[in-house]
Amino acid sequence: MPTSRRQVLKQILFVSAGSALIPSCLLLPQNKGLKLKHISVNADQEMIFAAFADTLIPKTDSPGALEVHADLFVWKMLDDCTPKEEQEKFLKSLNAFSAAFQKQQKQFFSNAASTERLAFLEQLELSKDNEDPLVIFFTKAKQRLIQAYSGSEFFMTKVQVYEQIPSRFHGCVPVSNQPIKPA
Amino acid sequence: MAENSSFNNGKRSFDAIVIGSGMSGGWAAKEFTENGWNTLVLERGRDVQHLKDYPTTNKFPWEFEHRGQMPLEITQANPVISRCYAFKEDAAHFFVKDQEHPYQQELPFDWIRGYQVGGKSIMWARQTQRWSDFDFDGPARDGFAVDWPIRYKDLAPWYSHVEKFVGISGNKDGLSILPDGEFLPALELTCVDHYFKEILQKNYQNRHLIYGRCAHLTEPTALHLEQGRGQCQKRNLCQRGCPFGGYFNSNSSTIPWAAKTGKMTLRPFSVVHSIIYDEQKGKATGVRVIDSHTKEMVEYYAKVIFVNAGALNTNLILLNSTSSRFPQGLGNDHGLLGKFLAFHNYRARINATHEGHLESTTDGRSHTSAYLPRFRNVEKQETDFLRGYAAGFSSYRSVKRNTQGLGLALKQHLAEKELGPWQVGSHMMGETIPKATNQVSLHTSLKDEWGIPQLNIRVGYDDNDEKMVKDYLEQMTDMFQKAGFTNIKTSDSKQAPGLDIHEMGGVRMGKDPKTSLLNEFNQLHECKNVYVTDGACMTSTSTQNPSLTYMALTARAVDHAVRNGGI
Repeated sequence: MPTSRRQVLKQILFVSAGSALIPSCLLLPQNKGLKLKHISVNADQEMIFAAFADTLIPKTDSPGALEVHADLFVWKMLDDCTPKEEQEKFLKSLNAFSAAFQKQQKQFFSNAASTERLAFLEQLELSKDNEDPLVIFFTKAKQRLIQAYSGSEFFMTKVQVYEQIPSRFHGCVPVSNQPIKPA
Repeated sequence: MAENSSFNNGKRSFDAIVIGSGMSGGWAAKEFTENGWNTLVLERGRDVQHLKDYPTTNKFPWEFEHRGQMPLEITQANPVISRCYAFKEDAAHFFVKDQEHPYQQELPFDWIRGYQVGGKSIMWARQTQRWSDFDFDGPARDGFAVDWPIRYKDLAPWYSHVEKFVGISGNKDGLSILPDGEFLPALELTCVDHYFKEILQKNYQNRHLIYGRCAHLTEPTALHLEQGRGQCQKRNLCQRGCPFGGYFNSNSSTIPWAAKTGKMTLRPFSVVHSIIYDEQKGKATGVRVIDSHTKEMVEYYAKVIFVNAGALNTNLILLNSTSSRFPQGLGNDHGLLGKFLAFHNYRARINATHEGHLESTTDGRSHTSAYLPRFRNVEKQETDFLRGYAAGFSSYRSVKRNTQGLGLALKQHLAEKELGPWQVGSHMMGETIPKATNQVSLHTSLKDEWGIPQLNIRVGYDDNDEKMVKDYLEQMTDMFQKAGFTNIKTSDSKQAPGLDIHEMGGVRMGKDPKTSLLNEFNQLHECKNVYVTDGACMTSTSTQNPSLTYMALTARAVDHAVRNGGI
C-alpha cells in the first residue's frame, strides 16, 4: 500500500495534488484541496469527508476507510461517474453537514474528538427522519464509503475473499457455517 | 501486419480471400489453409493476439480505475454501445464506440460491433445450441420468408466437425427440438435448476430444462491442447479474453491454427470497400481494400471470396459492390439484397424468489445457465403468433449484506456473510419473422471515414413480437407459480433491435435465384465464387444462439469451394 496520501492521490485521482510530499504515513489530508477533472473539492471539504470516513470505518486492529483510501475513491467516483447535479448536491450537503456540526458542537468536524464525531453520526444513523437533508447525506455518504471500502484490495483479499480463479463449480452443496475472520 | 512477410512482399494474388476474422471468418481461414489454399484474411480493425493483447485479463476487481463502471463522459458520448451489457471497464476496448463508425437509424437500432482480429468472438456469450428440422422447416411450414435450401442432415456432420474443434460442454439430452452434439462434460445444474426442471416435467409435455450447451473446455481433448488451449477455470471473466484459452474465440483457436499452416496472410487495418466483378469472366476477381491508416485503396485478387464481415457489414459490402452488370449491388438483380433482416427478441425478463432449498447453495462459478428450448408451435401451430422462444434460466443464492451501525460494529457487519433466499430469473430469446420492410440500405450522401456510404438501418418489432413477449411472460409466470416461486416480477425492456447482437439476414439462402441471394452452399446465385457464411445468410432466425450455425455453414461452404476447385 502506498504510504503517502499525496502519492495515492496522484495514483487514484490522476491529479497534481500539491508539490510537497510528506515522507510519513500521514493519512489525513494536507491543506490543499483536490482539483479533480470535473469538480473542485476545497481543503475543508476534503478534511471533513476524510474525518467522516475515519469515524464511520475507523482503523482498529485492521485497516479503516482512510488506510484503504476509501474517501479518495469516493471522490474519484463522484468526479468521473456521477451526474453533475448529484455532484453538486453531494458537495453542498457536505457543507451543510459541516455547518450543522459546527453549530451544535462549536468546532470543526475534522478537529473534534472521535467520540464527539461518532456521537454526531449516531444521531443521523438512528434518525427516522428520511426527509432530513442531513440524514439523506449521511446515508448516501455511508453507502458510497461502504462501496469503496468493500471494493478495496484489503477487503477483497482479507475480509470477504474474492476468488479470481475458482477452477470449480458445484451446483448444490450444503450451506456451511464457516466463521468468517472478523475485520 | 508489418510482421507478415508475404504481405510485406506485396503479394496481391491468393487462392482465397476471407473478409473478416471473427467467428465465421476465422473458420473460413482455418478450413482453407488446412486444405493448402493460400488465404488472405482481411480485418478492418487491429490485430488482437491471444494472451498478448488481453490487457485486462488478469486484473483483480480493485485494479480497475472505477471498479468496472464506465465513466459518465464515455457513456454520454456513446449511448448505443453503452447499452451493451459487456461494455464495462474490463472489455470496453473490444467494442466499437458510436462515433468510430456512424450509421443512420431509420428506426432505433443498437448496432454492437467489435472491430479487431477475432471480432465479437472475443466477447460473445458462448452459447452454442444446434438447430433442428423444426427450425429449418419453419419458413416453409408457416409461410414466411422462403424455404431453407438445406435441412438438418446437410449440416449435422458440419456441426460435429465444428464442435469437436471448438469444444462444447453439454449433456446428451435426447431432445428432437435441440439435437445432441459432440459434447465435453457439462457443469452441474443448481439444486433449484433441478427442482424447476422437475416441476416442468410434472406439469407440461414438452418443456425440458437443460444445461445450456456452451463453448467451454471442461475437459480439453488432444485437439484442444494442440491449439494451445487448456481447461476452463470457471473465472467467468471471458469477455476479457482468457489466459487459459478455456472458451472458444478465433484468436486462441482458428486464427493461430490457420497461421501455423504457413498459408495465411492476415491483414489488419483493412476496410473492404467492395468486391471486384469481372463481366467477361462472369465472376468476382478480388476485393478493393482501403487501408484504414493511409486511406489508400489496394486491390487483392483470388479465385474465391468469402464474405464474413458480420451480418450488417456483409450487406454493406455487397450493396457497395456495384458494376454495370450489378448496379444495385453484387448478386442483387431482384433488389432483395439488404431485405428480410431479422434478429432475436430479448425484451422480456422475469425474476422471483425461491423460499426452499435453504440448506443448499452453489460453490465456485458457472459460465453458463440452464436453457429451456422452444416449446411453442413446435409440432404444429397452436398460438395466435408464429414460431416461439427459448429461455435462459438461472438460479443463485442471494447474499444478505448488513450495513447497519458505525465504527467497529459496522466493520463487523461488513465482514459477516449471511445467505439470503435463492433468486431465480429468466430471459426470452424470441424468433422474429424476416420482412421486406426490415432492411438496410446505403445512405445516398453520408459517408464514413473511409469514403464508404453509411448504412441506413430500418429494423423494427411487429405485432408477432408483441404477442410473443406477452406469451413468454404469461407462460413463465405460470411456470414460476407452479414452482411456488414468490415475489414474481416481470419486465419488458422494450430494448431496440440490435442489442441482442443476433442480427441476421439480408443475403438470404434459398432455392430460387428469383427470391433469394445464396444457394444451398452459400454461393451468390449470380456470382458463384462469392460465398456469404456469416449471419447475413440466414433465411430465418429460429431461437438458438446463432454462432455455432454460422461456423458449421462456413466449414461446409469451404469444403464445397475446395471440392469444386474454386468454381
